[in-house]
Amino acid sequence: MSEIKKFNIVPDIRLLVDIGQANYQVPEAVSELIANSIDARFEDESLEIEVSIRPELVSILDNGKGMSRDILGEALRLAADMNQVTGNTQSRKGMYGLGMKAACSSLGSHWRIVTRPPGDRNEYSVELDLAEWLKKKDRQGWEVEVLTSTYNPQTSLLGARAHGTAIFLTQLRDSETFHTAVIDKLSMAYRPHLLDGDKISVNGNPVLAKSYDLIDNRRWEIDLDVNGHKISGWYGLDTRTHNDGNYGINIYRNGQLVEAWNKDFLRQHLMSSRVVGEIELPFIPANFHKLGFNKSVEEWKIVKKAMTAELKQVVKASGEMAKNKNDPLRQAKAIKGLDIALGLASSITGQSAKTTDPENGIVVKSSNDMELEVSDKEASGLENKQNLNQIFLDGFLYSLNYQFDVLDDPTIPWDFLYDSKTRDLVAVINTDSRLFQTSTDQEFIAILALSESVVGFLIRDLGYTYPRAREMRDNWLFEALESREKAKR
Amino acid sequence: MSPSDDIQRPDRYSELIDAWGSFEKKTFDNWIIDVSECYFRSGIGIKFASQLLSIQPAELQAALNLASLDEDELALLATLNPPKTTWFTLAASSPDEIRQALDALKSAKEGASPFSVVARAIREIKGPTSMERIASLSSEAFGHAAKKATAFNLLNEKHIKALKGWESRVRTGRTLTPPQISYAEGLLRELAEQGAIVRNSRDGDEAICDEILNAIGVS
Repeated sequence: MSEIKKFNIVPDIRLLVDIGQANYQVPEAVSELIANSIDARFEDESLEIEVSIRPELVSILDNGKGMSRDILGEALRLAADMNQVTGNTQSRKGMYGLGMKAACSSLGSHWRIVTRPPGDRNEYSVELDLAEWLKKKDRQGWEVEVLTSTYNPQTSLLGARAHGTAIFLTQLRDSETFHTAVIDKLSMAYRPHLLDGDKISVNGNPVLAKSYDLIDNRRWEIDLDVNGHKISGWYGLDTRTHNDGNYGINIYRNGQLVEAWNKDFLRQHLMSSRVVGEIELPFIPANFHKLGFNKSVEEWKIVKKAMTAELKQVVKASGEMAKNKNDPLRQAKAIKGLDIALGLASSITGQSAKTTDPENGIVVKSSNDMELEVSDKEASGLENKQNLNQIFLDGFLYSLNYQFDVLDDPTIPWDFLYDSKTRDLVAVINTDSRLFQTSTDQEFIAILALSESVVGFLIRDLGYTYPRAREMRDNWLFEALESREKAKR
Repeated sequence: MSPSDDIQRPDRYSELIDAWGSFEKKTFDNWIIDVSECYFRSGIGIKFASQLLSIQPAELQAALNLASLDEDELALLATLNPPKTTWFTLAASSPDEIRQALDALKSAKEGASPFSVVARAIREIKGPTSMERIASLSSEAFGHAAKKATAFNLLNEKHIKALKGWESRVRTGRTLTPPQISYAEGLLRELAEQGAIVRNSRDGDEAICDEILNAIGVS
């Protein structure tokens, strides 16, 4: 015997509250509500959105299309298909019909929404108190009441707006919100709209489109065709490197930032950290909270491959700028290299000039691979004696060299590398250190760095005590410098 | 920083420690990439990370610099596992330079410093840098640049004085310091860009103009 029994699977009304447990921070929730305002904008009219963030109230007022009574009622339904409800055929930021409810619920437990479409003599409002909502006995009672009242600019919460929507949230979950954090979020999240003339203010402060600090103020266009879909945008090189992670590509979907500082297209590294840019990816679905893309879809993998190839040269240029810190033209050279690689400039090669070998003693070179050079006169017949390029200890000869490079901590003036297999010791002088940057006597710095590296190596790698290591260092340094002076004479 | 970051932190440290300690278990290129990724995920600085790993900060920095190379270049390095004293130099090199450096390391004499072997091999390809070429300019070149700057009413008094100062410095057998070389490069480039120092000069100073233009790498 078989039997079918039907069950009503309407969710418990608690879901309207639980949906607010989404991962929204206040700026993100406000941003999500603004996405709805933008979806409801008039194509030919500048949108003005006023956000207010107070300890007891968060409000968002716009002069968009507003909603009729029926649309407002539908908008409160979870997972409502607003395209169908509104008859909208334009691309929208709203995707799942959940954003407004999730954002409101994550901000506060008392909602008041007032809206008015253009030309309507009435305004429509809904008031929801989630605490009262939860007390309802009917756990499947999802009905909300939409109040219709005659619009009066003197008393309406919409004020003098001829049309638009206002959302007021009280009984806030988080009363300590910095409105500057909201401004910061919105300035990047809606950069394309702000540049197009839409206006957003937070507590009376205008939100300005995020600006980039680019080298030479230059941007390289991205215009890729991926399986019939277009990826458009730009990339550039920031004037500074970023330890704070604020580099990579900001990815927008229909003008709304979905992923900030994406690093999927470049290897996360300080040397790549000048690379910044923006792309618009309307064809990849955003995830539930629009805080990232659905990266499991095939299109994303193709985008990743295409963008990685697209950014390869600029990543390289970013790396070039981190190298050769002694070269004041490294930035210009890196940009030039990028232009050449992109076919935007032709190659200009410098002719090599013959370098004159120094006569004697230490020569400080300006390249990355500096070494203390010992004259031939000094080197001959001194194989097992101390000089600035070697130290002879307990029957073994150790090579000594030094180089200039960047250590990512300006408090470290120098450090050393030692390879025990080849007995090769290299002092690395940090060109980002205060000492290097304030000194003009690099020869002296090199000798200091090498001396201290010798001590460090004797203690760490050969196990000497500090007093013994110091004594050995002193003797080596004395003999090496004396040997150099003799050779000069 | 969110509370969840705090919770994840110890794992991120262990991840970095494990990555660094897995040198023997992985190919060199994979090891470099893993270390770099774990380091940047850890969110800690180079000094703290090197203490955590009980290594020198330079060692970690050199590995991170290598991670900026292309995968092909890293794979090339993995054929030899070059000594760590060469890492900084290799990280700043082009694919051709890396190939030359690895060949030189393979055929290096026993007891030779890998650092010096690599530096020399790369220098053979690269030739002298513009800084080195400027360092080798004659005293006459600096003096001539000063004269041209005056004649063409370019550069200011301080700049011209500097050029004259270097003329005397080089004449008396002293070399320019790196900051002076950088400064000189800027001034000489300005003179070239403004047309005071040109190829095929009609002022009868072709040779000395060429010497300067060669040094700053202008064709």
